[in-house]
Amino acid sequence: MGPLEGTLVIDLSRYGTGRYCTMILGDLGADVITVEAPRRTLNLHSVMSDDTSFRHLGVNRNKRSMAVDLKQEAGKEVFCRLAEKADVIVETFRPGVVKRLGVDYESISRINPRIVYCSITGYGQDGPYSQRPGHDINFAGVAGVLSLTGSSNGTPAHLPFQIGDIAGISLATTSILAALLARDKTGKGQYIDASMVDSLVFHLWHYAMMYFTGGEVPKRPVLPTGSDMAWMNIYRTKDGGYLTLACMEPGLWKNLCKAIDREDLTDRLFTSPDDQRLLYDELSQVFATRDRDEWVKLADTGDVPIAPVYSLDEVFTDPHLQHRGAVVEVDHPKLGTIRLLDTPFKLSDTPAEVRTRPPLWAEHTREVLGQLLGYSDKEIDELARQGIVE
Amino acid sequence: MGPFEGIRVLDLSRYGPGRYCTMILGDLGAEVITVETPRSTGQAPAMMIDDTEAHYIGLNRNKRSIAINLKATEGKEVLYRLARQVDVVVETNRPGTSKRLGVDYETLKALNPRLIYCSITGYGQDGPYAQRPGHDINFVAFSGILGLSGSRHDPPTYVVSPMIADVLGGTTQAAMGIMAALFAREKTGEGQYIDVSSTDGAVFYHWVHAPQFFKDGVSPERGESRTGSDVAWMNVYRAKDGKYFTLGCFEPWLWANICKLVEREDFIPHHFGPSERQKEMYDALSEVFATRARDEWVKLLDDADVCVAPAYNFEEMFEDPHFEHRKVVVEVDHPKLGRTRLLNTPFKLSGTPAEVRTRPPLWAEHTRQVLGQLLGYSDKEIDELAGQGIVE
Repeated sequence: MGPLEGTLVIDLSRYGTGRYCTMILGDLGADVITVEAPRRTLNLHSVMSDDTSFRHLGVNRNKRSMAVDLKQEAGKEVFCRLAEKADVIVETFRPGVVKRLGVDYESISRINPRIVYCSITGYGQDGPYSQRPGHDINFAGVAGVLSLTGSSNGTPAHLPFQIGDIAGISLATTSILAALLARDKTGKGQYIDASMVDSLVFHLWHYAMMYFTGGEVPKRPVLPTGSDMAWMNIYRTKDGGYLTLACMEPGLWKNLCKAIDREDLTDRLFTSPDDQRLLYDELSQVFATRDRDEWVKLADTGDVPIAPVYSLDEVFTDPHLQHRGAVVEVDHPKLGTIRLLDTPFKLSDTPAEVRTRPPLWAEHTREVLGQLLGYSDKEIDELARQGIVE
Repeated sequence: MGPFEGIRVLDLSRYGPGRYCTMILGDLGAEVITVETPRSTGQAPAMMIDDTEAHYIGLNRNKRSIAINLKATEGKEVLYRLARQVDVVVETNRPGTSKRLGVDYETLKALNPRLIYCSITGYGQDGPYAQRPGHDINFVAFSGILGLSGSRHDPPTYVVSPMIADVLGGTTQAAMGIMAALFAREKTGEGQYIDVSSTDGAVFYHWVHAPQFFKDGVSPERGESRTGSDVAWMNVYRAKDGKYFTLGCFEPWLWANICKLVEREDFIPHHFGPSERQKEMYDALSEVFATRARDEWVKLLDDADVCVAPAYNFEEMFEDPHFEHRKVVVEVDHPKLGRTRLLNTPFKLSGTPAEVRTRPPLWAEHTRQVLGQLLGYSDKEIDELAGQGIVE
């Protein structure tokens, strides 16, 4: 039984960001209901409408799905009945949209003062850019992250996954958990304005701090690996694979030098950037003499901070991650047995878990309206006929 | 008054991820006490000795600092007295170390059943690699994230900041786990143990790639382009003045807007076209964008409702009016450094706000205060402990 057992979360979000946040809450035991827009109202671009797409499967386990047209009075009423019972609402619309729809924090908190209402946006609810459209790559650029990536010889390199979204999700989720805790004392809910860019900037901590205390604007490194320090870098091995080295501690650097029979390198741990680049070339030559997985054994036998650069299939067949349980299988009515990323939380007494598979689109509209909100079958049929729900 | 007002946290961690986690809790109102290793033992972690150094300053606001030698019996006694008075303990030792020191969960739980104890490590408390040393770059590599970064024509490229595994995978997972456990404790009345692995957390971030891989079985690889993206509609572009900006035109109408603006409406139907087409469009757009300075383009494209943003360096970012409005930086007074800038907490809670209440402490600034006021040691007892090097 997870720690959030008994907490009802309503997810109004249309994109992965909001869905991922509520998925974490669901993994922690919350009862999550995603409120979709009826399919006929959807425009061409709706990431969550195909319930067998990998995007949908990736973020919707532990949730129920219903569809309501919020633009119609009767649909808004259905939503408000739901909001009255809810503990948390998450939305990711552009600032102003939920107000126009009449389902913003002011409106909902009037009927439910205990509601914890979280808006996740790129730039936040206010400020000069709050009305700008934006995606992850934009946020990474504005937050200065792209000024640190790639190498100085080329363009900034964007990341292969949504770092802005992830930073925003972590901010939103921690905010919601904090607000739920506060509510136990105050008896009241509150509003959370979670900005992905705010969060990204906050996560720059050591680089921002070096800038604040030293004054030099951090620059892109020279080496294409993204680091100019030989002791923390990426090296190519004989078989064309890559490994990473991270000998931040003198003791561990010594271990490496010993393990590769190069104790002459012991004094070159924190030398100048120029020497580090020379040292990088020297170490590159060493690492080119054996296969990746041979070198990685030094992590166990030589107490050296070394790890392989895995491809995704290697990740999921690695014995350590299999032991830790990175993947879980569920049965899906359309797709058969599918794999999902298991929740990483390991709480000893109130564990998190994948309890239910991703829902089919609007699979639970009738169930939620009937069981939770007390609508009769006849009323539900009528609402469905009018396209208020689906 | 933050949401964690009244919660007391003991930070036994020696490195960034643990300190960062307790800083988040501190920003949210918790009372945080960091336990440093006395300098006299010669085993204090290098990053946390110099209290004017960037890393220390960046991680320790809203905290009090004390120094206790946990290897000494009397030092353990001090800690056990503390453990009875705190709600949360955070540590980042290699699995087994805390037990050897006698400060593990089982030991402290016996003194305080309501205690929430969180361990943050790279690989977790168990499993074949649990004893391996490692840092963020290793965890990012092991979790498969690094292998996807950069161009396939180059080695993988590491992102130095934010730290994806340590911070986004480890720290935030720890913060969430602790908060969830505090929430559960309201009902159960009991604490529990939290085993946080940065690599487990990092693997969980494959929320787009992993489902796709699970579905079609094709292990993703690095793309062609050095910008990290192979599609024209979501990419990094260079302007005339050598500065960069980003386009994020996922929505069809945004793509149409940019095509119209650069007078290439023939590109509109090829929004999600194949890679050769994308390269062609990227090159064509690059040529156009090389004709004006970045900030000109950002204004033009913004006015035309195209999903655009500048790619800032730190200086530009912290001077941008949006960030000033959102208050991403806060200034504090420091006895050694004078006016010091810190990253402000990003939390924006309307009812119980987070804030930077106190500056980073000087090293072991509060040993006497904590032992005296909180634990009831007399001045004489504290002097004795200090004399023996048990505390500092």
